[in-house]
Amino acid sequence: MMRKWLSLALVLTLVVASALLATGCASSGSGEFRVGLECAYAPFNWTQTDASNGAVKIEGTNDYAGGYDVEIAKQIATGLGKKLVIVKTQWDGLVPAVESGTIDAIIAGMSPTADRKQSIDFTANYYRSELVLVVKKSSAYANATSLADFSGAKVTAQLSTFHYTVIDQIPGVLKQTAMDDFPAMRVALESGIIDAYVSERPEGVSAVAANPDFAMVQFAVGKGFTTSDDDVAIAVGLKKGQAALVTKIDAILAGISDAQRTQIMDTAIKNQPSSN
Amino acid sequence: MGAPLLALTVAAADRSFFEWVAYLFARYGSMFLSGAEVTLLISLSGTIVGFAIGLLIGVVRTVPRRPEASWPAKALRKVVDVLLMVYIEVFRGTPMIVQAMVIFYGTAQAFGVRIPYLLAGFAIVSINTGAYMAEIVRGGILSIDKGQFEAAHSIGMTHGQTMMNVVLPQAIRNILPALGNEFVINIKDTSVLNVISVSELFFETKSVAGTSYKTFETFFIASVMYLVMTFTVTRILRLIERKMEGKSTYTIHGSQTTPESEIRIRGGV
Amino acid sequence: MADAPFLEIRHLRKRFGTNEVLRDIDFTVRKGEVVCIIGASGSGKSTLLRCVNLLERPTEGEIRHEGRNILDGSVPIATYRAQVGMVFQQFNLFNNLNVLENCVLGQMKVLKRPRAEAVATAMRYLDKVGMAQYIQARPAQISGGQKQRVAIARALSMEPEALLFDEPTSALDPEMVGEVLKVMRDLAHTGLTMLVVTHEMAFASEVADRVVFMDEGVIVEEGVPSVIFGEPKQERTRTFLKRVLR
Repeated sequence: MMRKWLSLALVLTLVVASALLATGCASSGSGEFRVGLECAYAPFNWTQTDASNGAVKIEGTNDYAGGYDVEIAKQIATGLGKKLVIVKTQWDGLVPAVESGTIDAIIAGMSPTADRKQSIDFTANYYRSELVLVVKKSSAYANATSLADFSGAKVTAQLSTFHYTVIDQIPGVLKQTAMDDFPAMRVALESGIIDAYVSERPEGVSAVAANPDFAMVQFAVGKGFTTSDDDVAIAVGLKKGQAALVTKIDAILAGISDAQRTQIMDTAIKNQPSSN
Repeated sequence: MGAPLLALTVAAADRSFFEWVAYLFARYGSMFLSGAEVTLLISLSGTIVGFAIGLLIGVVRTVPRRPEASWPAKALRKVVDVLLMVYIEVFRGTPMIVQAMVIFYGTAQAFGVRIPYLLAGFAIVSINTGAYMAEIVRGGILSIDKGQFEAAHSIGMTHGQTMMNVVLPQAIRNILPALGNEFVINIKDTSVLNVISVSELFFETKSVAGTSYKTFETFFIASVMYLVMTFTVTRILRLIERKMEGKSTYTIHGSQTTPESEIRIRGGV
Repeated sequence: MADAPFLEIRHLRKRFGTNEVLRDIDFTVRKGEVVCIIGASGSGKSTLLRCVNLLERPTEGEIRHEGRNILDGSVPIATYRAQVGMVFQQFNLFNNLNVLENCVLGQMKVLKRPRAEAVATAMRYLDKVGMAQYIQARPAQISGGQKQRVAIARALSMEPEALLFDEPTSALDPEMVGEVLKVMRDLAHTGLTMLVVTHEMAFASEVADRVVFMDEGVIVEEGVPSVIFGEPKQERTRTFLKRVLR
């Protein structure tokens, strides 16, 4: 009796293990350019179920990744003469992944902050954004024009990003606990737990388009957050000590003009599979 | 089947909560299902292998100590005990997400080996579960009356034979609820494997929420799917429990002196 | 050594921590003998029995089985235990197996008998104890007296040279004691060596070849039942018997 159960369980596990092994055994070909991103942060990167609009298959799944980051990754891969492989990884796993070599680059809307530069190297920027605040259209803050207008507001931003640090620049702000990701912040805003969250323009545009209750507050030059280039720009993250690769990618990126970047971003915003 | 399709015809702005749920499931169903498949695959195999590891460790740790054994045997026993204790403490005492990072990225860094993601996920869940199950099994074995061991020994059975034929069948019957617990925990805890690029249900859900901006509805779908998986698993384990218990009635058989009589007698538990 | 006594115990001591339960026991059992050990609780009689089949490890002393000391590692323990079976006060039937499987398991695992032979042997002894009809029952489904009879059949299925009985009827309701004692009576003097720790004085006086009285870890007196029960030589024996034989 016992023997029957044991052998059944053993057979089952062997079958499963070999299935797992078969699906996963990808050879680490040097002809691949393995890029890590979350695929959950439109319009920079998202997951879609089909290959429309030039989306790239995500390794190990039947889904496809699209977005600004993916478009840039495609161009870099072409420039390097390698095949693009998208490796969907949760945010906290990205830096360890590139450090350990399981991916070649992070192209995930990640900013080259001083903290991160201690662990990994970054290329030149491939996008420069501006910081905005997303609020509810019905709130008093919808018509704000300067940071001072947000005095007394409950504001939060994403955990472990510079978005969270700049909140301190708002005089008299009620800084809330940082949140894990954008979906969490959208829920909090919708339910009134917070008055506003810090975001970047592309995400703000998308959020407003998806939710008619939301509005985006942009600031004129000098009235908004003071940020360093390294904070609001995004760049490609690489394992330390690869100067040649950095140079190569920089060259490819230099070939994409500002106008082209804006166009790619606008296309991405249009193509994102948000609620429609 | 018609409901989700119908939902697609309703204009976005007019959809209710459940119409959104239907729409999202119709549109992103493949992602949810593939995520659930991965979650189930990893938690099923991981829990079973973790249980096997726990059984092995439980049996090894309960080998009776013999004061008259030779000193190399005693030294070996001590070393094995310490190693097992370290394993159990480390893997029970650290979060699985940390174990995942260290094992997966650590081995890649140290040995330059990239383990296939799903295999890594399976290994991590197994090793983690093994540590918990080892203690559960040990407790299960200790809860078996000493008399069972003594009876088996007194007819000349070895520790291994006693374990396989008498003690473990009874101990496992007692452990099944805890095993079910562990299984349910694993189904949910596989969500941390997204840091090593495993596309299980939670990661897929986050992607859908992030791209659709419909967090409540998306996570509602995920909750229902998790619930279905955990509920099914616990029911199946309940069934196994009952099978192990055996019938509650027994048939009287004839002996050589009295004719065959088929009288069913309802016995005890 | 064919003429060596079946069991020879010399200078046996057993300590549990600082508590000395057996002090310098010298004791011999001949083949085929029925020996009953009596005494108050805590006198060490159960411990002595458990030392014989090595459920307890003596602190000092020798236990010789047919001339060979079983305590020095020269005798394979599993083989020895298959020759010296035990019946417990708490029956200790294997709860996950039915009556038949209880009697078959040891034969197949330890004696390596094929299943058909093991089942036939088991049925023979189960019939002898009157439990052949209950082969499908599980231990939880039968009464105490029935369990003990199955336990005896289980031990007998190993076809041992000797059977140790550790207070076999002490946990039974009075109405079931009789059925178990009957089985034991039928076994006596069939060639099986029996060592019985018991409080059943009537059984001891009728069936035993020899009665051993123990008190506080030593053997106070031993002899034939008529002497022990009729004209005990030691004062302690007399005191004990006066208490239990009312």
